Amino acid sequence: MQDLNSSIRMLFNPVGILLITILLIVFATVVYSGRTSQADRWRKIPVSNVQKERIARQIATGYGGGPFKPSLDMKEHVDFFLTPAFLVQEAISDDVIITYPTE
Amino acid sequence: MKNKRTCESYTTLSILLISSLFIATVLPGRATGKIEPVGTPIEAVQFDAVIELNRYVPRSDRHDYTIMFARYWVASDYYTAALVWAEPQSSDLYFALYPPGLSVTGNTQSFEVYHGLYPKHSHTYERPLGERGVLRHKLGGYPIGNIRFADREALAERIYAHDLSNLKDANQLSEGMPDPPIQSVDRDESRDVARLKMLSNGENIASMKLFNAEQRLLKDISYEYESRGDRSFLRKQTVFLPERPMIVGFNSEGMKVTLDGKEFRYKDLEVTHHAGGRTCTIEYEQVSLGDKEVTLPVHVTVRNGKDGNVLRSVRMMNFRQVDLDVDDAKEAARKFSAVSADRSQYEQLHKKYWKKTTLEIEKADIETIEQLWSRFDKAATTADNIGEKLKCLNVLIQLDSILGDHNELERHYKSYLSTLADNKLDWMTLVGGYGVIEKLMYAERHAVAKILLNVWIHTLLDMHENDEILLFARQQLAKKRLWTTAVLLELFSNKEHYNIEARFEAQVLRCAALAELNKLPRADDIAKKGRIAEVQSDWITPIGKKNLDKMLAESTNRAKNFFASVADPTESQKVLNTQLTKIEQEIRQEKKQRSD
Repeated sequence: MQDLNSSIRMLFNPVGILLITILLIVFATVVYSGRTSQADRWRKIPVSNVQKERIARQIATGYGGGPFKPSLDMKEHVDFFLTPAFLVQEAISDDVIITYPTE
Repeated sequence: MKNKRTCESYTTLSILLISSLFIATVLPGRATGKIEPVGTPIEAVQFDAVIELNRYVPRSDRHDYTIMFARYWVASDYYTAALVWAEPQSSDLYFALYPPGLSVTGNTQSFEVYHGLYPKHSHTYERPLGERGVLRHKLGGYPIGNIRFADREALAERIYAHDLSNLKDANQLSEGMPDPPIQSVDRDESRDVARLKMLSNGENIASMKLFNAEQRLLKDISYEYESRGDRSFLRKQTVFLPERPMIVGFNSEGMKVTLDGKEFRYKDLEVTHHAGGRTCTIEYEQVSLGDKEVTLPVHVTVRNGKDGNVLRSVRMMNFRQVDLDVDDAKEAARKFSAVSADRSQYEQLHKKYWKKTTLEIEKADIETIEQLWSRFDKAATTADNIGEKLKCLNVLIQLDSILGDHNELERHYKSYLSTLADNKLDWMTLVGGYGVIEKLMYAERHAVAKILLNVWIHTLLDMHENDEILLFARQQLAKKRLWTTAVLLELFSNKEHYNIEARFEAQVLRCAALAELNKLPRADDIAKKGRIAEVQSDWITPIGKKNLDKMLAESTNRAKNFFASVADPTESQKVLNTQLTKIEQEIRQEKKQRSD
């Protein structure tokens, strides 16, 4: 019990407090610098401008292309209105090979 | 002796000549070396078509289904098509514009779009029609005038008999043989096909691949024939249309993407058109036209190449030969899709009285409505086209509701549903049948709508399989059609001939519908939620909150009982049960909040 008390007294004298503070600063610096260096490492992976442009274009198509999808669906529906006409036109013409019109 | 030899030579020569004549007359197809499949020349043909269009929304149960009824007039140098009617007559109709009244005509000089009801869409485009360019329309918008590019693209991908003129017969189309050259066509604006790859079945073309100048596959076709005697007839085409790039673009300055501090701006983007590819099947039949037997397309189905969902289809029927030039055909098309005097008068009266009671109708108008009613009733029985008949029945249903004649309303509504079913348009009995009821709700004819709801549900339950009803219910819930779906599901789960699993799913979906109805805002705030929410509010207001709570409690109990009876629940049934538990928790929370 006496040993424990003497240890606590040693820790809370000015020298002990100074030592604990230094240890805490060193610990915090190590942890903090470790984290930033990891982030820096990601940042430091060389990405060429061409790659950046490609990634940016993919992002743009992924997000920006969505609203066009219903219109593309509509285009197919509308264009399909002509399909029966072209199919029958081929079937009553002897100078056309029967194929399928793209709608 | 010499005379005898001369005689023998003459005999041999005669036999040879007769044999040649026999071969030339009896086997004409083989003697001419014609490459099949090609058409049979006919002056002009008229036919009717029923076009079904499906739209699926990714990661949603939402599904839009539209049917268009059209008539076509086609010759080798022109075509014209007119739309007489479309279903459903509700906000579910999914097309670029209101279809009835639309006609299009293409000939060697021009391409014309005409709309009898909306003249601002009418326009004539001179050939050459030009390139499609960048698609700058979003959220389902697509100007009808753009259909002209489909004409240009179809002609640019057409293969002509003279493209294959270097081939003597189909036997030359075998592996390792050089591809037939594509020759220039004077009458076309341009040709998108640069290379063909074909294989023969020994007699006809068995398969054909079309490539553009960049060697991109445009379409991959395989042909199936049926042999009759010494001739074969085209029976089916199966066509695969691969995914293709398409440029879409913003009208504004474009989309900004900032990456690592660097700013990129995109006004145009390359997207995938025909995502998943398209698999198209075209079935052919022999049709008698005058004194000729002609092989004509009768059914086309287009599926998504990846998931197999049917995206659109068309059935072609009532083929007959006609003697019309392009102007006559155009006139016939406009007349076919035109708004008749009776229809115009009906529109005016409908606008005047759609929300009024019978007592509020002026005396003179009652007489006019009754006369109109008689003419439409007669026209519905004599119509030679399904679209025409459905158009008349839709008008009659509205006139019946204005006149307050419930018996006739029920008769015409039943006739509308049976006309759809008789013409193999069963799914429209669900979508269109509901559309009629919703239209009556918009007109604040709640009592009449309730009568038709009962007729509709009983017809559906007799007509459809359980999985069809459940699929439709999920689609309706995705569109927030809550009350009618809840009623449908209740009657569905009461039917003991449906299996327990189906009845369990029906009750869980019903619980979800009732729980959502419970969350609807008060009548004063409902307008902000849109017309469909308003209609839901109109349905449940007479029922009251207390009764709705009671229904929900009963429904959750029934669902739990059904689940307990399921012997070996599947994963999807377990998921449904989790949803049920969540709904129960929400109910408890709401009750607690109310008591606090």
